[in-house]
Amino acid sequence: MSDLLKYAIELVAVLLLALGIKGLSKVRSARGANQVAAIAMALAVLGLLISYAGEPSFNAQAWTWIIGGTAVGGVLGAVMAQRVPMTSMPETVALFNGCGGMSSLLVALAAALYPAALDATGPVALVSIVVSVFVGSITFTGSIVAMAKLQGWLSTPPWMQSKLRHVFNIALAVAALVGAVEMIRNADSGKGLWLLIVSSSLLGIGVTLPIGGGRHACSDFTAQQLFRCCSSGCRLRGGKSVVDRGWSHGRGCRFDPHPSYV
Amino acid sequence: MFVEFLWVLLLGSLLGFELIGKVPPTLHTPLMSGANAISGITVLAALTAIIKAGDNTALLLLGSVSLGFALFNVIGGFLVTDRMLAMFSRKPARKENR
Repeated sequence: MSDLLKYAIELVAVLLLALGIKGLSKVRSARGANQVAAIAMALAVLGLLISYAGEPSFNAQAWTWIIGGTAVGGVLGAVMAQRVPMTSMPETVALFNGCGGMSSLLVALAAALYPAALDATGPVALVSIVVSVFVGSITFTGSIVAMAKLQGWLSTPPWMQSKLRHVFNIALAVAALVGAVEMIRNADSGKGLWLLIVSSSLLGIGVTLPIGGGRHACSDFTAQQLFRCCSSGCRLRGGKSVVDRGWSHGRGCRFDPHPSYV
Repeated sequence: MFVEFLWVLLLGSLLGFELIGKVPPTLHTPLMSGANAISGITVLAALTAIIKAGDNTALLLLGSVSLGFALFNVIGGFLVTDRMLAMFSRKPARKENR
């Protein structure tokens, strides 16, 4: 019975999630679709909790840790989402994205350190762990660098714009590969894990740091301009919003810290 | 089992590709933000880690911190997306007021 309920909830959650993403692609349905996707996520969590309801280790202690993590992360996320000014949306999304990466990195780390407790044994689990560690680390550091750049806290060091950065990044990619192979060949030693974490974290920095130094600036800074426009709420005549305009003429632009139409 | 996972990966990728196909440029940023919130689905993994941890404090701690990060992503992401999209829906409302 519990199984059936779990599958039913999961099915509905997946369906709602797909509908939500689909709806996000049309202006009229976008806001409702976002809420549908949020409900789908809540359902997925509910389904998981129901499926583990009978588990002996799902006790008061586990609940304490769950509530603790939920309270801190959820409240911080909610407060930040409400308080942050509309002009710094791109940075905020970058920060959120980085935290998602950190989360999957930590889960993969837990699975790598305690495979027996989490049933994370066997080749499939191992490959998943390696991929999650790699992607999680890159996402975290890359997003944090992106946030710092958008925020204006960080500028590109000159050597990062030279050809030297390719050597640096390729060396890091090779080190990450070595770490990944070592992890798969020799999972118990733990050396591969830390090599993979360190090298892919640095790779995340190495890949994102040159962005914005040259012509790549456009996409990021157009987004920033876009949101400056949105926040002031100004519209152009003819029913076309500044938002549309901002994108269409933003193609070949350089970033202007004080757009004239704000 | 490995093949099954590959199928899920393939179908998921195709679904994503299909769903995101034609999106007007104005919606790129909210879509990015919304999809990013969905990527916080690692809450499930974090919850699983906590539930299966038993008395292993290190695992409980890792799971809990991970849960916090994931929920920061999910809740913040959805709320921020909602705030962005609320600005789009203001347009027709204004016209009616005039």
